[in-house]
Amino acid sequence: MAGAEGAGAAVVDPSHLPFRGAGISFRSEWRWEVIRYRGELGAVECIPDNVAGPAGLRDLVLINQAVPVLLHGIGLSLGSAEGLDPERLEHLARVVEAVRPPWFSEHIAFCRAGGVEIGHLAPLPFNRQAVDTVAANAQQLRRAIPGVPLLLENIAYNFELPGSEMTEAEFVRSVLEAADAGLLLDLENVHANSQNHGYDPIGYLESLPLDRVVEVHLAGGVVRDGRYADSHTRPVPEESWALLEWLAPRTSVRAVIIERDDDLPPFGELLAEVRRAGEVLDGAG
Amino acid sequence: MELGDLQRDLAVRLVNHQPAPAGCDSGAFAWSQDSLEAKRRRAAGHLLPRLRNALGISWFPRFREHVERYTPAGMLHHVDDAWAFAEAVERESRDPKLRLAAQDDLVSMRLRYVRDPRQEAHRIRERRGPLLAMLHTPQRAMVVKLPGTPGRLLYVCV
Repeated sequence: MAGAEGAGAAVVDPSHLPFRGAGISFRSEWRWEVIRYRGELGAVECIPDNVAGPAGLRDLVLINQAVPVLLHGIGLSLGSAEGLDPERLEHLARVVEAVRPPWFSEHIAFCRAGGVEIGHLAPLPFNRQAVDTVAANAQQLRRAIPGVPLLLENIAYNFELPGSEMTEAEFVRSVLEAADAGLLLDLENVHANSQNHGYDPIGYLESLPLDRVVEVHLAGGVVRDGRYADSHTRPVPEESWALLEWLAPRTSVRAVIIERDDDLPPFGELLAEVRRAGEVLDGAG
Repeated sequence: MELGDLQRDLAVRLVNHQPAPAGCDSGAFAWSQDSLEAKRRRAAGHLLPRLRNALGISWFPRFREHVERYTPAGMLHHVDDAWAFAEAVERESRDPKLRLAAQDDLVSMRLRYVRDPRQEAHRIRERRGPLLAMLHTPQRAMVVKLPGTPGRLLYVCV
């Protein structure tokens, strides 16, 4: 991969990144379970936006001592034409400094514009202007967290914006190349989009730059009013497991994270999914 | 349309339940608006358990009213959202049961956070200073939070 221009650029090559295996997204409700079952978790993924001060940062450092922490942003709004919020970047830099994660991930999306916080990830039009916007913001992000490899995640989207010039897969590829980022491939988002937009998920995966895949997200959603909602409230569906089994032998995946945000199950059910993901990675060699 | 204009327009339409922009699937757009509202309501429900119980089936329409007039801000925008909703109920409701439920849920949030509406990204921050407050449910109690991170909590039943 070509290196990004500018100081602090970090080239993302999955094979040079540490292997973390299977883990979960962190919920404060599971703080003690995470510590108790640390031997079964390869990583816990935490959201820096949720760290509200020194006590939160101290908790994060304690968790990192028990299980390696991965940092996953949800609110930088990397696709915003207005650029990034310096306060959020400073906050992220403080959290990164405390945790020293092997990489940092964010979404190919925007979540605020004109002072309005959407509260969710909104899609970008699949065009060159959006590609250049994400690349420029990624450059700014890199300057805030120098030396930390950047991963970008494909999102689930329910509607497509006017002004698209390419397919979703071409757009993701273009963004990753322009930003020189690794791919956090959310297979549940692929599953959801394939259901809602009527495409073949394997065909979609085949058209992505799989050599950039560093991390995978798995989750489970629900069908509501005829559409599949990526709600992170259910066990991982078999369709997404099948995608992981297809993907694992074709990539150098370093971590698989099971995401669960609501309707939290007994921790044992989550651990069973973690073990299954680990077995898929082990089986892929 | 330039990307910035498109995003500003889309953000307002999504949050304020306005029609889909031209060229966008209106059904899918409306579905997304409903999902956004459900996400806000679910997050607020976790943070405001007493108020949710006290409102009962009115929880949905009352929260819809709130969504129509308030746009949350900051990194912990779900906390800001719940906080604003509880404050509105506490301020506007004539039902003492609802006001007490809102007050108690606000105390629970204030024990953990401080909220500064003048701030944007850091509107919600961890509380480091002391707090003295009254809780009414499940029983009347005075709660004291001592300064520090996280700061010890003392409950005195009264």
